[in-house]
Amino acid sequence: MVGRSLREIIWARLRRDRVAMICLVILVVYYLIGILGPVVAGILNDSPYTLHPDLISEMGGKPIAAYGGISAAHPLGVEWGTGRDILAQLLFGLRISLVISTVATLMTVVLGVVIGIVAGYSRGVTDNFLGRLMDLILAFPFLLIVMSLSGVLTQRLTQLGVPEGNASRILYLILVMSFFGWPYLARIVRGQVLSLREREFVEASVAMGAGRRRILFSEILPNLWAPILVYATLTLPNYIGLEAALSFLGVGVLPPDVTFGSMLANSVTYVNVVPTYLFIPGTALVILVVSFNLLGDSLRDALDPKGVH
Amino acid sequence: MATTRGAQEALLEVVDLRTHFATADGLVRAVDGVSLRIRPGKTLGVVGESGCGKSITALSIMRLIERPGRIVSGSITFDGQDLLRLPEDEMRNIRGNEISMIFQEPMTSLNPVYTCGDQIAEAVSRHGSLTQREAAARAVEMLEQVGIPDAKRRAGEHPHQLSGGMRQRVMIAMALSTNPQLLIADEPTTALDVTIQAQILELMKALRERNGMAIMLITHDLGVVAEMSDDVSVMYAGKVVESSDAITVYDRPHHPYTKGLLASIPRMGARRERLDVIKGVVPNPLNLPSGCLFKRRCPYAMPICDNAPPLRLVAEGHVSRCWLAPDGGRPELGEAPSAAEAEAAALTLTVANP
Amino acid sequence: MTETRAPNTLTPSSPAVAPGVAGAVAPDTLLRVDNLVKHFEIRGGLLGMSRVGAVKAVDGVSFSVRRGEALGLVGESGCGKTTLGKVILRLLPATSGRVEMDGQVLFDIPARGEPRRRPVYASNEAMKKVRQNMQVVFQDPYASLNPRMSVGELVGEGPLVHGMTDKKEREALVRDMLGRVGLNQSHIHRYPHEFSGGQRQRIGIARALALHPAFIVCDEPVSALDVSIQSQVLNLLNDLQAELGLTYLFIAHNLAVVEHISDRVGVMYLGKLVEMANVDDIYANPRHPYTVALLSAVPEPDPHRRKKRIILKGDIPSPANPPSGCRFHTRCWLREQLGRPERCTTEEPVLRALGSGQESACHFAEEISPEAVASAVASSGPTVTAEP
Repeated sequence: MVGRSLREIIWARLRRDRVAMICLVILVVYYLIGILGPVVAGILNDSPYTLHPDLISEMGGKPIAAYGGISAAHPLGVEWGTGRDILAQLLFGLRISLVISTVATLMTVVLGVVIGIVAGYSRGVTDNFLGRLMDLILAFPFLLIVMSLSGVLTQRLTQLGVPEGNASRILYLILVMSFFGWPYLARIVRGQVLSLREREFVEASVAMGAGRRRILFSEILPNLWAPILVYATLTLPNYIGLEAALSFLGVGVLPPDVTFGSMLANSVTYVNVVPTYLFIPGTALVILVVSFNLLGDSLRDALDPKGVH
Repeated sequence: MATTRGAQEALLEVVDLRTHFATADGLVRAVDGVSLRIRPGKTLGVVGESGCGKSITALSIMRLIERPGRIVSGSITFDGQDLLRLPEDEMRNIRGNEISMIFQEPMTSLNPVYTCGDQIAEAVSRHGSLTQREAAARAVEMLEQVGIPDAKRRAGEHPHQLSGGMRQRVMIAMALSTNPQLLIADEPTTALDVTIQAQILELMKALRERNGMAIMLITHDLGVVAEMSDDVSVMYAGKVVESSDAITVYDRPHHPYTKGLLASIPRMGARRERLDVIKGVVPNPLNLPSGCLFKRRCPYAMPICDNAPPLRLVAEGHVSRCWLAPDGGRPELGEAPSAAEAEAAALTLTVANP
Repeated sequence: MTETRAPNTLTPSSPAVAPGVAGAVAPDTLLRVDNLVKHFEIRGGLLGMSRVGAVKAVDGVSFSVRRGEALGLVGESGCGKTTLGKVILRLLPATSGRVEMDGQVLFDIPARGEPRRRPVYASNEAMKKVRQNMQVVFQDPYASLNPRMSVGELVGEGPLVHGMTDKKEREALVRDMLGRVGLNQSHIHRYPHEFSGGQRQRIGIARALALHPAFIVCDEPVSALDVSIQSQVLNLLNDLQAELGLTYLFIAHNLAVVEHISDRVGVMYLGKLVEMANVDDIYANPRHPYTVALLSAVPEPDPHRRKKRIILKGDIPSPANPPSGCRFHTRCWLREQLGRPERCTTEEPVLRALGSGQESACHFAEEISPEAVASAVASSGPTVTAEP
């Protein structure tokens, strides 16, 4: 117990939490696959863009081998109608899903923390204004707006120089998710800042002659990491699911690119005949989301100040 | 007065109570060998610092210990029956009916959504066969008894509409509505201002007089204990370290901890340049020293203190958990019995003489 | 209280008398507070724009603190003593009034009804300089230390803010401070959660000392501590004062603690100073009925001295809506004895110097006598039976 900082204690607690460690390992593997996916696919000598017309029947395009065309070369089967490898699709799809959810989470956190701190620290008119703004954003019917604005805004993005096609569609997803996501975090942060700035250690620092910047960055911000971290680990899986849902609804990525969402969307047509189409990306998605959620819960426990004394 | 005490029946007798908590960091022996005796109609002051186990003792008596806590051993005899052996439904009948409890912060023990009158009426009707109207009338009557002006109107108010002192009065009214034989008051005035504390203490005295109930008064405030108590038990690190009547404990404390406490508090009208101090801090409950728990802070520590001292009789009706001779001097070499022998002897002493 | 202690007849004719507000500033005055007012506005309405009332936490308090003395401020919750400390430290903005610390005016804001003039505030640089000279020790040793900072960072924060950028120099200073407050110097890299309440309070004191201030506001510094730890911290504060020549404003509700540490004591009730005197005078011979009752209410740790007390009726009124005239009149025992003179409800008493060198804000301070107190005791509360 000699000279251990809170961070070290929290890490030690996490280390003791077996569920958290398993989740952490799973997530590291997922991210590694996300980064190295194309390499892996290259080693397997396949990509989601390679068609395998020899593996599907000429009539209707049903994979010839059983369970959606599972074979030694294609351990998870091939796609109906094109014969594209499912494993390669997963490897590439994971990358897009992770990019969208991770970047959107980062943007949400940055927006939420900055605006939350400003609102909490300024109080008064600024706080009032930001509060109403958050209420307004949260009052929008999210799905409706995302779907109806998708066409216009992706076009606008391409006009602004974003490459046409999926690049602008992915950027669009990231932007809307963070735009509608930050108010939740901002509210949490604002509340924390409001209570932190009344804490005596902040007053002590003021009495010491510390300036505003020091108060914000040395006194308040370090005490916000815990809720921010927990919120981020719970938001990320949300966004993965949201991306899947939006892709399912047709707002997301277009073929030939794939994401978890578009794979699930496609699988629905064949679910009676080839249940593995639903089962495989579904399982991959559930493991990812559950790992994040469990890690978030463990973090919350580990960061609980009641346990730190 | 010490001579007349042995003969008196105890209303509540706690013998060697042990309540332990299995926490993630290890076993906490919150209460570890507490023996107390409360005489009918008398007030026992239980003094100790935070974490000494005084509140856990009270909750153990009420059998309100929740996991991960567990009453490991001991007996709690109330009015001739061992509370630890009673079935839960009979215990529920005793709780609030024959033994009532009030807490430090009345706001947390009053339900914010019901009016004060309703809460008292509910307590009354839970233990009696009164109609709703009778219970409501009794509630107002109780509020009047505890000195709440305009009781009828106050009965219709919610707890948050009352001041801290008023809320504590409501708690007392609720606790006394069933005419208990024993009132356990856990830091009843700690959250109150001193002029309000004086009101509440005065009220408790008057009610004690009228109802003839016994009070177990738990507090860290040596002034409140001196003011209210007939008998005093001092607790330290889960154990009772000294028990006697109030005058004896304050005038002739035997245990070095009691002596240290009494010497360390600033007293009005007795300014000193420096206060005496008890050096060091209360031991970590997860890492208690072997032998006497006070030895590391004790100015009298000696080799024998590596053996845990039992509660020893140092004068009639006066026990102390210390190896020092009854007159407070060093024990003669070889006089002290072995720890196990002494523990056995002391247990019988404890039972015979609190 | 008054029955058990002989009235102090040895009132020295030394300059112990507090300098009056209107008087010239004595050369040894370190802190001077004039007519300080702090109202917390209660806002209502749709956007919280309209003012619906004000909690008059501090309502016109004047006093001064001499260099090297410990001035105790006592009072019950809601009397404004903590707010007063924070306003002096400029942790809260004052509504009006003037505070001068060691020759530097911290602020001077005209009161309502005074001729209009521009409020004066010390500049940021001047304020920073003052802060070096004026520190605070808080009540709660848990809330007042940033859990994310090590002891070294906590104690070294002040010197860092004030330009001691050299790390080695700062560490040496921190070690020195830790030694002074009785902490192990090797604890410099530990974090607050590793310490007990008493040790944390020592860290808080070390932090305040690190800037070598002349003046420290101690806001209930021992009331969160266990009894056996309180005396350790009180002795430490006493030793430091003697060693470093510190001046304290010692705010507390525990009368025995205040008596122990203070040279002079002020008693507050509902935002006002009601009495101010040397510690021996005020405890032996209180000259305000509230002080009398307050002292009488304290239970003493001696079963032989179980006493009958003056039990004040009713609760402390809300500072949002204080009684008219004398704020204490709703609970005053002296007013009852005198047959409820009208003056108490109509005219607000001011703190005035009595012959004894004490200051009291009671119209009838001269009527307080041992006989009056005895009769107040006799007429209050239910009778207490003697020991069995």
